Amino acid sequence: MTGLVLRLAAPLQSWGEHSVFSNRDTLRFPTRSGLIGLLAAAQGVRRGQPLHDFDGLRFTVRIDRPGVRMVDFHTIGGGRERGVPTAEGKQRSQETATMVTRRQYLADAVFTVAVEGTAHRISELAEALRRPHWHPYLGRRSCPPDQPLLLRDNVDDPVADLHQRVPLPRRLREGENLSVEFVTEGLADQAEAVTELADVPESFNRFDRRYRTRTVSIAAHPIPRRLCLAGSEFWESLAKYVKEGK
Amino acid sequence: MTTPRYLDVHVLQTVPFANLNRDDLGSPKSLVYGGVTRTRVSSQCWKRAVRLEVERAISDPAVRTRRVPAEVADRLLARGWSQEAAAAAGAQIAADAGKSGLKLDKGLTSVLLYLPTAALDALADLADAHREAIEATVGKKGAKGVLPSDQVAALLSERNGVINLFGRMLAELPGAGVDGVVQVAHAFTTHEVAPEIDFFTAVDDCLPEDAVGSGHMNSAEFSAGVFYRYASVDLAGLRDNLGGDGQMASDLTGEFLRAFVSSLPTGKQTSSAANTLPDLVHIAVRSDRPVSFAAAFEAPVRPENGLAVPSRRQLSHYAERLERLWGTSGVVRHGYASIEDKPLTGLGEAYDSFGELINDSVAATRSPA
Repeated sequence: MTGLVLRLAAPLQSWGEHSVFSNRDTLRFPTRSGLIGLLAAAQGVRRGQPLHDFDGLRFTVRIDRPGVRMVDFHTIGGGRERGVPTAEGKQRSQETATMVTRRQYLADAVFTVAVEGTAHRISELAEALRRPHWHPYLGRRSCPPDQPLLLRDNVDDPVADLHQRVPLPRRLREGENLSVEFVTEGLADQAEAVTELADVPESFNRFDRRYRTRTVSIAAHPIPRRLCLAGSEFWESLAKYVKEGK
Repeated sequence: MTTPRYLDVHVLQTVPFANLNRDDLGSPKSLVYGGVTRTRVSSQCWKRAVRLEVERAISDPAVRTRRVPAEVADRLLARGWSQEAAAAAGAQIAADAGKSGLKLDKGLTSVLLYLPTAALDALADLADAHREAIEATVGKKGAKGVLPSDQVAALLSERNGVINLFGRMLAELPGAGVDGVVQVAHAFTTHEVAPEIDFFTAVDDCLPEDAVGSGHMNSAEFSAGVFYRYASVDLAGLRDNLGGDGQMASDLTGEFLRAFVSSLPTGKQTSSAANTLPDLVHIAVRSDRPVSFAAAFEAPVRPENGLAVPSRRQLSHYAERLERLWGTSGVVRHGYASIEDKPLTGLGEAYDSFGELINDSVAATRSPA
């Protein structure tokens, strides 16, 4: 097994799990379906095409900065004379013309993600992320990722890199030690929380989206002090990590 | 490999006291980034302003309607068809749309169709070409389709510039969905913003002489700031949407850029008239991947002779740093135009005007092949 290290950072991200119609939620960390969507879009996999190529991948998420959950109030069709047409083709009345949706985002969040898979699969994905077929986005089209998105490919043990090597944007006070949460797939021995998520995509077909459930474990792990950096120090250190991989 | 693949456009724009995009409480939409609160304009909000501007510019309107059969019948009436035959032609178009046809309910299609106005004329032409066969169906209940169904489906799936750029969702006709090729990010201020509460009163003009006080009082929220705006065009996707027409792809890219640079959301503009133009536009044509510079403002800009000047410098500085890390092999061409006197070294070639910058960038999107 080998792997990639991805960095998911942007003003806004959104990782929906139970979104229905006008309420669009987000989890507090990237979903498996969202990550597969990001990789599949980079590879140019069309909606409705089989996704089992992604089944063998294993994702580990480090929550570098949890961000804040934010609700975007969004209206459609307000102020129109005739109102909005309904699915049956009727007109909504003037009183109900404006459709309201509430979309949750994570603002200000940063995640580092280890993606493990076979060497062949990982090199395919790395190439796709370098020259993506479609625009990459973090859960929603309007959330382009900061670059660099792909920090490194061909890492022997990317999960160990999350624990020991990839810098994290945080300034520590004197004597302060940092533990950050890791989200791992399956049932981990020392998990502080275990949850079931319906986020394993079977089909991204627009009219037939199907998901299986998976178990994830969340546990905090200490991060070495030397990895916690802020401002330009963080940037230089991140750049160094990227360059060492080349 | 230097084939142009993505075009990124970055804009810095100063917007004075305004409320372009409100939340459910009437406050300007906001965003926490880098630990401080900024003002935000949602991507959907700004995209709508851009879309309407592109529609005006290319004067190729699209209609969203359930009345396609009636619209075609009207056109045929004007060409001297009888009332019955024109109505039969409209019904034929619905019945012949694709393999299974579209259901009609009192002359309306069961779903809204979204197509260029010009396609309605083309449908009338098609009916004209099959006039005899259609007239033979008049008065026959459940008449069999006489129009070539693939041609009808193709015309109903016609696209115009705006549909090719922004996409379309149409469930009932397989193949009529169009993936949008433009990615627009939420715009946000490069610095911390606290909304201003504008307390106001309204005078009652017809009060008795001895009455004092106002007729109405309330408050409204506004804010001001320097916005970072980013969008990206998938050049290969756009050419695909246009069936490989490179000239059309260039024209549309140019119109999109002009609209993105010049358009503003209309929210509360009658009470704020914040009709500004960008202070800086930077366009990069890339062969590898899109690159947003939002992270340039993760550390909020602090006032230093205003906020616009340091925002421009911070953007340029960040671009330079990212380039050093990244290399320049992915850049096919990049340049900027700005009101800044001093050169900004991180943003490529300097241009005198937004127009020249856009024209040269669009020219660079034409594949060398």
